[in-house]
Amino acid sequence: MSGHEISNMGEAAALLEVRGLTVDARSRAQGRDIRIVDGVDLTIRAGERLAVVGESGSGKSITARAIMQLDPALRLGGSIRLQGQELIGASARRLRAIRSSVVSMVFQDPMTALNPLMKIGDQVAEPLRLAGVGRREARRRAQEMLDRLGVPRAAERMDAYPHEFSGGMRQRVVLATAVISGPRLLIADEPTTALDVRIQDQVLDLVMMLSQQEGMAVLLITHDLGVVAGFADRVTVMYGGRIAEQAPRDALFASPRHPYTRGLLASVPRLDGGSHDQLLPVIPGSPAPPARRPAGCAFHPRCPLAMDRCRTEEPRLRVVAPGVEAACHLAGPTITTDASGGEVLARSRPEEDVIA
Amino acid sequence: MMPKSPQATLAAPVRDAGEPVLALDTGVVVMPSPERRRRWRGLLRRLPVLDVVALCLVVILLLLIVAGPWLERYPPNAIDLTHALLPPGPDHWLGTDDYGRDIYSRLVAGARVTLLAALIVVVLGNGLGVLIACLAAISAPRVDQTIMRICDIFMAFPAMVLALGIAAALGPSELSLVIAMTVSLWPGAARLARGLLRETMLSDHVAAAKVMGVGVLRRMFRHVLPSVMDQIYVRAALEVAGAIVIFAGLAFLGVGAQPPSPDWGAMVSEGREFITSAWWIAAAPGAMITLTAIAFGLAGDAIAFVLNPAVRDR
Repeated sequence: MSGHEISNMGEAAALLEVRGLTVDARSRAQGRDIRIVDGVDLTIRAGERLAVVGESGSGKSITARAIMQLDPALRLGGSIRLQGQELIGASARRLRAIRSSVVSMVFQDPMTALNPLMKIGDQVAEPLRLAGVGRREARRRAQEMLDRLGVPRAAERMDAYPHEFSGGMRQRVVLATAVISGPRLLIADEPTTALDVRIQDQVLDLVMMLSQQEGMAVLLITHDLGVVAGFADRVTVMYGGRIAEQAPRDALFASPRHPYTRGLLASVPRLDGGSHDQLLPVIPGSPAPPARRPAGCAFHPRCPLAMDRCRTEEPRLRVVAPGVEAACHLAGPTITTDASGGEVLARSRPEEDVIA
Repeated sequence: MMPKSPQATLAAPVRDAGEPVLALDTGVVVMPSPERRRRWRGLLRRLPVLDVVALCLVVILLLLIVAGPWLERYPPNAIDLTHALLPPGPDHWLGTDDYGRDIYSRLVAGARVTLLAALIVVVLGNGLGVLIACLAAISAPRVDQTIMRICDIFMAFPAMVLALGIAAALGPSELSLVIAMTVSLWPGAARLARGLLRETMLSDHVAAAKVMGVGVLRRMFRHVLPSVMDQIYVRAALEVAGAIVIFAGLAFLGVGAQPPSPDWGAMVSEGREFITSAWWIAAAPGAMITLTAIAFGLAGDAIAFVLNPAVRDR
């Protein structure tokens, strides 16, 4: 993505603005509410592709589902504005009007995301039918969309049932259903995780194509940095229900500011560079469950650079370089005047083996 | 994975569509379209033999209800004491009872009493139960819990006792029997359906429907309910047998079918006096009840099989 396009996006109005989003789940076992997502800020401009990356339990999927208001049992706080309209506390009628036509969603597992008892054509056409499009016209457009998303012989397959499709084909159908009403924002919750690698690429290419041709913004939830590299304009890294780092893609890959991001990047297998006899570096430990998140920085028990301050004081997300925000006490503008962000690494050299 | 140029991504699906490599991905789909229209044909051959037998039996039983009047060889209630207690033979295929009534004819006529009533009651009871379950499933937790506790209260009584009480209170008539049975059947159906509905409501395809802007009622009746109906059918089919047995019990206790109605249960209870001397009086309707129970029990599975496209088209 060229710098020219990024600057264009800066001028465009924000399509989705999430401010201080909190999600609480009632836990019977704990007898209290558990904060799953804690103060997430996200901004997506029209046509922009944002990837939210994190491990299981980082709150990335819950954030996506909160934006869609999918789980009435979860209590949402903060603000979610879509095209300037507040979604938290919005009436069911208004949410229905927004869903599908403005924002839509693709789910992780194409095996369960389709109604097993409905014909493919009817499922893809349903959003149009709900919008008042006539039966024949909706069917024609559904078939067109399936064609466009590379479902072979779409005309014949309109009357097929989901079980007659393979995983990759089903995900194309799911995608067709999600985008047929021309949403401005597509939330894709790990859309490729359940697919095999070759199909993953194809599906991602399709989302990319739709995003570029329709100017559709995409919020991609994933745990796979490899997926992010070819797809996103900007990347948000989540850890423990909070944002650890937020940066343009290239800046993130070139100079990650947060030790967690660096750990993630180091643990991506590479074909180029690096000696082959070395073990793949891993981040030691595993994330704490939401009910037992540590005080201070959620990452400090696993962080090779952790200081006393990290154990007590929660780092706020701050701008550390143009367009780059990080929530780490060490990633300050003072250290990062050097664009490569090498200072943090330099300072941590004794511990570097652990993380990278 | 490397960043892809826009050109490459645009070309990808077009290139895919023509390439045979995609056939690997599409799997089953290589099927030509005329086959699709024939999916119902040859279905009987794909069904397990037992299911076919059960479906045939059910069809025969239903025909018995419709064509009964033409199949009876004697008036079912005609008393002929000169031919009382005759064993099965060429004149009376299944023998006669103590009043000399032809048992075969009474069995045929009984289908229009017992079987019809059981079917009506099962349809009404399960229909009501499923509707209430739908209501509970889309309601706020408090309403949902209240409805379920009411179900529990009804289910605390054995169906037989509940039906007996209601039938006795309403006075002996066919209508009161149907009401009593419906009331005793709905809670079980509601409980089962509500659990299944709740489970299905959590599935991705229902969430996807929500995301598509499908409203709550349409979601329930178009996306959730159809997914659980196969299990409702299986249960309902099993209940046909249970309903017949309860009818028989009620007739036996005197609040059900009144003599000389050829209710199968009543016939069994009338025949029990002669069980050692004229066994056919009780055995024939007893066999009929058993046969019906088995036929509908198995047919439930067959119906579930036929309605599930993933199983049906295999």
